[in-house]
Amino acid sequence: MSQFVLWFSIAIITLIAALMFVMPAMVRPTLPLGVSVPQSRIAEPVVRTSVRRYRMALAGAWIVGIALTLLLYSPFPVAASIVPVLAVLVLGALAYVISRTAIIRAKDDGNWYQGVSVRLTADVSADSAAAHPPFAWIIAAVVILLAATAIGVAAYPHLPDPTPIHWNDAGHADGYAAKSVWSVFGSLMVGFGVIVLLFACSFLVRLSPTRATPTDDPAQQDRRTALQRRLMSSLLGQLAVVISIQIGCLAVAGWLAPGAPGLMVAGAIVLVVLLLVVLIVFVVRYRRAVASWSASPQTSRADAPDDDRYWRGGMVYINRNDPAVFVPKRFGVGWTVNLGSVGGIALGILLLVIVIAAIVTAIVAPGAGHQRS
Amino acid sequence: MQIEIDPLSEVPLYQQLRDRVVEAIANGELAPGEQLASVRQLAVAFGINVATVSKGYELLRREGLIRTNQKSGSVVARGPGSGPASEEFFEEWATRLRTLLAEADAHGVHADRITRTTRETLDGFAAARASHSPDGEDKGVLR
Repeated sequence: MSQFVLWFSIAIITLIAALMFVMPAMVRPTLPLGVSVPQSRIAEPVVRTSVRRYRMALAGAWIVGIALTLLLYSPFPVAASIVPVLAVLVLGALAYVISRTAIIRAKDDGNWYQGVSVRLTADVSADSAAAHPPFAWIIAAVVILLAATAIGVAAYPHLPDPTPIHWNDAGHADGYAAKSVWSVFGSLMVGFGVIVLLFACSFLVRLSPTRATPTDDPAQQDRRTALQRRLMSSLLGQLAVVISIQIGCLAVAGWLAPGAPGLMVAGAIVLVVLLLVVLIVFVVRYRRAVASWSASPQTSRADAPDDDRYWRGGMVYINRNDPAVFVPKRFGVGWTVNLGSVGGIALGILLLVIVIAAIVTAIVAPGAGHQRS
Repeated sequence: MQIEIDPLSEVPLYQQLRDRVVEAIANGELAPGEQLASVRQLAVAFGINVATVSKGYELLRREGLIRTNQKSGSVVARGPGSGPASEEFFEEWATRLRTLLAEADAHGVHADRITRTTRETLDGFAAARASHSPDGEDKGVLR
């Protein structure tokens, strides 16, 4: 296993831990660690200590993840790229579930919602804050893949048969297949499929449900909804571009310069960095978009109702009375499914099957590390 | 136009929904012809049962305040400026007003205070309407 995979694993672990670390600043102040509290209680000492404890535990999880990567790296290279990531995710979730119980206990013991007036809020006018799909990014992604396809068509007669279809971590070809449209253009087809999928997702995002709360100024809330949708939508477009650059460049490098392993490894590193930049820019802009949550010190007459009972473990939403299939995440960016709705249950099962299949494939399949093309 | 309903109130949610929409029409926040969220959209936005919202819309429809068609969904059907009320509506409303006035009387609210509050409320609607209409002119003053 090359150094590249080691650094890649460390980067992924650091990214996951960092995202979980900044998350308390990305959600409503009335939902510290996903616990519903009235506005009058957001500055309670127990809230601050719980968030601090959560962050310290996360720092611990990050250290465990790094240590596991370094330990497993030479004896079990495949496990070293999966186990530490899972460990950080599980430890991070545990940190969240355990640190939030202190707030829940204080809330129940102190009857924080006693005498607090609560309201449900919604916009009765037809929705006007729909974001545009990321047409420009999607077109750029398609153009990149088409350019790669054109180069492939021109190079096709000169390609060797059998043709290399897979390269190892050091950039040397280690997998071959008989030359055909599928073996030469297969990765580009996958690329087109991914772009179509991301484009479809952007249509879900542009009309994604938002939940208004009485603690927010309606005009501000509309602006923020529009901004959040636009950011999510362009994130999908940017991911499409990065993925098409990655797939397009690897395909072209494989056809034109199969004897230059350094080029492929350098290209892969540049693209991982590009992906990180896209994600970091998104987090910073999203944080700025939701900054008004914490920047509005005036308290409104009413609070959002205490809906903790619908959030199992503060993560899984089950509400039979709520017709929404997707709801904004309790503690995080984006949406989760309502496992109380028929559509939500179907999606939940589908996701579970995909995740289990992915894990089983990665562990059981022979030479799991060589399945990527 | 954002509206609020109280999930802990004794007043049923569909009734609260209907009341808030009527107030928004009187305020000029919802003007005739304006499109409303569909029943499902609104239920999803509130996170409440579709049947509850449907019942609220049904009330508004029966009162002639909104109309629903396949193409454009639900739209506000009338407002303070869309001509005089039907005699039928007025009589039904006067019956309910009688109960409200009886409540105030039974609790010893002075008649002057009742008329003053009524006046202030109506003026408040008219003022809000004036600030919402695009040309700054109030078309539906009740006098």
